[in-house]
Amino acid sequence: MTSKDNTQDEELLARYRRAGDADAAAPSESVRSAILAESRRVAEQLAKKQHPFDLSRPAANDARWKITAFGTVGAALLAALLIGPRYWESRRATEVDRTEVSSVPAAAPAAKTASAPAPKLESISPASPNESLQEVVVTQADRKASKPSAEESRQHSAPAYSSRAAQGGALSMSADKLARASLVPTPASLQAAAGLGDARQAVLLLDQGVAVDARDADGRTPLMLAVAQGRLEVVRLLLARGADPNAADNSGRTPLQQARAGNLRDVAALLERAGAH
Amino acid sequence: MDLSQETDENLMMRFGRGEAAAFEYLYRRHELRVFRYLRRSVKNEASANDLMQEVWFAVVRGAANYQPTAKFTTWLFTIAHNRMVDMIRVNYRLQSLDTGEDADAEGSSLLDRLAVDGKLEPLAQVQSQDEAAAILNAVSQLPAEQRSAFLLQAEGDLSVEEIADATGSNFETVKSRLRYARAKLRQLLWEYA
Repeated sequence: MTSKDNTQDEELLARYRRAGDADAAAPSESVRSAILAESRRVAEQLAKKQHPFDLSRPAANDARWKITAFGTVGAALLAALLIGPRYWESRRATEVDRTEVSSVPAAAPAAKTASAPAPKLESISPASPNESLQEVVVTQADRKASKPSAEESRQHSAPAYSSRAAQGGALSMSADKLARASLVPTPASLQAAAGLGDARQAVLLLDQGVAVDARDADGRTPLMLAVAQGRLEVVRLLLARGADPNAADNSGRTPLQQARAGNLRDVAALLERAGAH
Repeated sequence: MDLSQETDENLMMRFGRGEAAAFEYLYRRHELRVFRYLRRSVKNEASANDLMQEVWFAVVRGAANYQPTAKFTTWLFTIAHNRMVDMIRVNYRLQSLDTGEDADAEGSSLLDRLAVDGKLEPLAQVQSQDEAAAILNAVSQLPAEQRSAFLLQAEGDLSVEEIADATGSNFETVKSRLRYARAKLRQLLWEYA
């Protein structure tokens, strides 16, 4: 198509449009009214679709909405009261665990332990050592009497521990940590429980047959690990379960030497009463 | 924003949100062009009015689902074209029933057959009229498909591609129809050039 053709085409269209503008052809008024009326009707429907909730009208269940709303709020508050303490307890236990775990590697080597002061866990230590020991012994006696299976022990130990911790008892390990530690009854588990001062876990592991004097790579027994951390209850428990108070590690150090070096008089006295020399 | 400055597509979207005034403005903007297209396609005032109502009702009722994927005028004139073809088809069937003829299955040839006075008239018949009337008369004498393509371009401002979309034809066919339509119009109107 040439430019001349294009010009002619445009001219033709222009002439047609001029003619069309001069033409008075228009839809009838009735058609125009019908179209506009239909558009208003549809617009109203579309506007309602945009705002499906007519807030100007009262609610159909005006009398009941308050009951529903206040009931929901009440239920939420009740749930918060029930769940809140458990949540708070688990957070607190987690913080305590973190404190304990961070203290273990620093005190683990025997040479360092001798000069380092005993860790202070006042927030979780029992009001009376005797009282907590009685609790451990009673628990042990109960378990012996009832002889629960290993699986049952694992399943029930965590919640039982949690409730005691909430009461400010002697045991300081969180429920999930206890569950983790109790997965496998190995000497390493007993050593960990001894180092962490977890008497209940130690009882469970001993009940499951873990050797009371099982040694680690440095030749340390659970008793030595408990002494190094100043875990009086666990020391008492291990001695009661037949731990050798005179066992020495690879460097020749005994629990009594450890206790004296750490100025742990109660522990040293306990060891001496058990025959340590 | 002032409605007069809004595009067709925005006006349609606003109507889709329930703004009646937006539609009214849109309708006023395209009313005469659509009516002229229909009036000159069917060559009957009453039929054109019926079609006008049908076309705009379809626009109104399609507003809720309208998406501006194409030019509004392309959409509008596609509806207009389809309604016009439907009406011609129905009328032809009714005529066929009256005369005992079978309806032609092909819509395209149907349009040609239905073109009222499809043959070109001698220019002498329009010589007494002024130029505007002559032009409109010349358009009315075009074969139906050429007329439809020409009117979609002239009234709807549609491009060749858009006319092809609106009429369901291919690009080359539409181009050819437009070329023939212009040639015939120039032939009919040479005296007024």
